[in-house]
Amino acid sequence: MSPASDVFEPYPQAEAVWSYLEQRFGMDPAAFADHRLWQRAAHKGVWLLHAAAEPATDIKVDWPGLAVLRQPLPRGFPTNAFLRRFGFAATRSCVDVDWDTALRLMYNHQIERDPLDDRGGPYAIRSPFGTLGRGWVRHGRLVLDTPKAWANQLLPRTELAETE
Amino acid sequence: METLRRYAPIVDDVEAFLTAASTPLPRVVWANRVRIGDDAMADLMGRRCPQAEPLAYLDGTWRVPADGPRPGKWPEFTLGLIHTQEEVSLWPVTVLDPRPGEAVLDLCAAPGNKTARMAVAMSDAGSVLANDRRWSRIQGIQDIVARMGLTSVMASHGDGGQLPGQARFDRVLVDAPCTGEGTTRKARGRSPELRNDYHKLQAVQKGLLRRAVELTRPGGVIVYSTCTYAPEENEAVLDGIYPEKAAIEPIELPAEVTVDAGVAEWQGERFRADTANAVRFWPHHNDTGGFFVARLRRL
Repeated sequence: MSPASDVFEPYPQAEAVWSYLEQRFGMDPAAFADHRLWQRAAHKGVWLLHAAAEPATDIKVDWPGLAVLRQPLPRGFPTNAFLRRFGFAATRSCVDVDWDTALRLMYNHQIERDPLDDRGGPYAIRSPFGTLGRGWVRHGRLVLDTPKAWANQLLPRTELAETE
Repeated sequence: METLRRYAPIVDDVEAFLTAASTPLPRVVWANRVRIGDDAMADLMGRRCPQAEPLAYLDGTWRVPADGPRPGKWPEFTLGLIHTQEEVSLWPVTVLDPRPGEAVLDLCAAPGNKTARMAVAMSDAGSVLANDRRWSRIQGIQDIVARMGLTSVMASHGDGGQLPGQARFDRVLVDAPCTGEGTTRKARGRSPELRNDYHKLQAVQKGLLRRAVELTRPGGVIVYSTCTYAPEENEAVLDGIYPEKAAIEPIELPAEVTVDAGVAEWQGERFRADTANAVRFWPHHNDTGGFFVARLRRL
């Protein structure tokens, strides 16, 4: 890989991303007025970085800010981390669940649910304590895209229940 | 703990120090204020750990007893609403005092806890460059940054002592690699090994601090910290900075927090006079781990 391909550059199709987020999730582009999108030449990922920051060119930056897309549009969809941070701004394609259901989803359980549209996702799954991440309805079941390790990292649900 | 007796000349109560250094450490939970408000945080702590107590002198921070629940296993941690860290490790960022919109460098960033604390202190508005020598440890920083949803942090990997570039940072944190003698409480009382290579680490630490000073704008702030007691890794490192390059400033701490001043002399070696402005955290003073923090102003 050449040094030039290591450098992050402003993402040329930023407007398309803001437009997608508005159409799919109803997120007002103004919510991202203080942010810019960046991409590394030879990579597919698109990153969200605060406008006051700019990836240095004399230092090899490994990653800037928060990953928004792992693949460019139209194939890509928002990352879990992005939706957890900005899911509050979504007004469409949201599935609001209670905390008990949220915990079940975090423990990789699937919940019976009709899809909101004929695409089956992605949806922003939200709980009373914030957005859980990205979800889908597949075969009539709502699933949360979680790292598989989550279930091991979290307390067993029985033990968790004792603290509530 | 007997190896720590070498610090008897600079600690006020060596027996209390050795006893405290081998007892389990309370955990501290702090709120990711970018994503959770104070009321919601108080509600969360009330549900999860009623015996936790808020720390009045550190914003949004709660102390969980050593035998209490493990916050790192809570769903709120997984969702990035909270983070857990040792209490004394919060002081370097508090002393650095990063402000929104500033350019900040964390020269030895892994595992990334202080980096995240900095970004949250800046309301996630500004620029935080997290550098570490090992690429594998950069991945751990990304895990924390992604979990907490921070957009102001960038990462690079390289030798901090040779990081390229001009003086462009408003604040720089050098949480230097050290012998880690102050972390015995996290190691469940395991005694630190007797070391005789303090001077090898000192060379690395001096290189890091010198580069940090060079990368800071005139008038900017550099915080040098370690989690060890050895003056060879603390005051002696500060002594390696030319006084005309940077001055060591006094640190104002809340009255509830007891610290000792940096030592002026160790084993026959005298240090520059303003090393007395640095602070030493001893485990028996505040029921924390051990730490050393100094705040320098770039001239």
